[in-house]
Amino acid sequence: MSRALISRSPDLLRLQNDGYEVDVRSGHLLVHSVPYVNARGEIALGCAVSELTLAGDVTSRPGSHIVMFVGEHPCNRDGSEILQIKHQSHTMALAADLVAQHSFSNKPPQGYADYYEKMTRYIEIISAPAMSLRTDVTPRTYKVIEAAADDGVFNYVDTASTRAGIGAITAKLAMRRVAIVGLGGTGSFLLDLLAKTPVQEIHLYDGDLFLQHNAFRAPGAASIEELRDRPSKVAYHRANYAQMRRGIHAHREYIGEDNVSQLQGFDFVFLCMDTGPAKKLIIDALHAANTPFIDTGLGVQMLEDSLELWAICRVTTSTPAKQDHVARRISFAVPDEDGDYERNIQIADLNALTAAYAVIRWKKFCGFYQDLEHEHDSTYSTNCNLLTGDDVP
Amino acid sequence: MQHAATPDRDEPGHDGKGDPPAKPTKIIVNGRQKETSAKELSFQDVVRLAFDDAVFNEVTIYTITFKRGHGDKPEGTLVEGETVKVKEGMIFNVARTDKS
Repeated sequence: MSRALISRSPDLLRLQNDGYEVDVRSGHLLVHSVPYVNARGEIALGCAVSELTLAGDVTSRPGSHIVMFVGEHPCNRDGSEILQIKHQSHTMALAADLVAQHSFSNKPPQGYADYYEKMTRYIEIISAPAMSLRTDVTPRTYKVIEAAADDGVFNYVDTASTRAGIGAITAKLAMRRVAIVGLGGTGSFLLDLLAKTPVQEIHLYDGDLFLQHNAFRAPGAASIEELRDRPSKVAYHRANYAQMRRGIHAHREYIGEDNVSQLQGFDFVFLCMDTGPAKKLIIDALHAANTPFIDTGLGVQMLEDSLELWAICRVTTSTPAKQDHVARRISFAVPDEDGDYERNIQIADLNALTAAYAVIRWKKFCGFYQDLEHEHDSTYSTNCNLLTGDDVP
Repeated sequence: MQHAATPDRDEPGHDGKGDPPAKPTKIIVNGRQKETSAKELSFQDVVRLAFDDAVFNEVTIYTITFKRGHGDKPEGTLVEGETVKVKEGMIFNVARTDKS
């Protein structure tokens, strides 16, 4: 992926053709073997690092004028720091495999037109003292960098994380196998959010078809042609998200007694299914295997007199640290179609909100978001704007 | 178990000096005005106030949330086996959060 990105981007290609050791890794642009003088007056080699602003895996105008540096602070010939570019010095975890020690700031009034201009300008300032001390020293080594093994899940680089400088935190979400059981409103929005994380495999389980009413409770905008094809829910969503990433597996089946064993070996499971005996079966199996999971549930009711709705969204989490609350929080009853409170009202924004709460809770479990409370049950009530958190281990 | 409709004169705070009968407390249950003369409601009391045809068995779970309650626990959830003190204007929501 990084080689293709370089060959498609004229500025990166020019850098490479000029002999700079260009590398694209973990969403960043790297130029290796940049010579500089350290505080002891010795010549050393560092690595200049930049964020990458991309459009369709081709570089755009740089989103930031800042450059980061892996190495000591570059100095003048006399060992004093180059103040012209001095910005910040501390440990910067840019990605799991990329840690910089310094950032530099040198902004021309009109900014940098492209990455060639940006990187060569900084390298010129960083390397000038070293090059004047020794004439055989140059950042233009013409050494070709081998493309890093591409183990990412995305079809194009996740520049959202690198632009925000949270690549190292995002890496905490890279679970190996996650399942979503039920691809209705909540499950499909949950997939939408999960697909944008580095989870390697996302397995979808649902036996149902994606029909017209489902289009109004799913992210994105299905075309009438897609609806006429009557795809299964899992196939429709897999095809949609395969445009962005790999590792989405569609299983067109409901989970029951015969196949509950399929949920063995997952790192995390999201339950987004209507309640019933199957849910009990699944939860018993997940508890037996000590598999952490989140069960989502929504209850919407109608006020006939005022023609208004109100709802409770529920997110119940089970982890090896706490499971004993599940029986008090999750219903296993067969939905009762008789009572007037049992009509199946669902609204996309409530599905999306429930999905977002579930994903936020999962990200706390992963250590992505700080978690001061470790609540294992949370509800949101729309009519009084109430958010609750209970069942702390 | 205390039933929602039963006035509770023995509740602390009633001095029994010939006060008029306790005025029912107005609360909102599932978006509708209700009245209760109980000082404290159990999980099952609240479910019954919400649904005439409430069922209680091992597999049916209702989610109860409340707000604008007494100062020591003004808001939160209520599960089987728990009770909560009632306050004028208190909001209860009861739903089977079982849809996806």
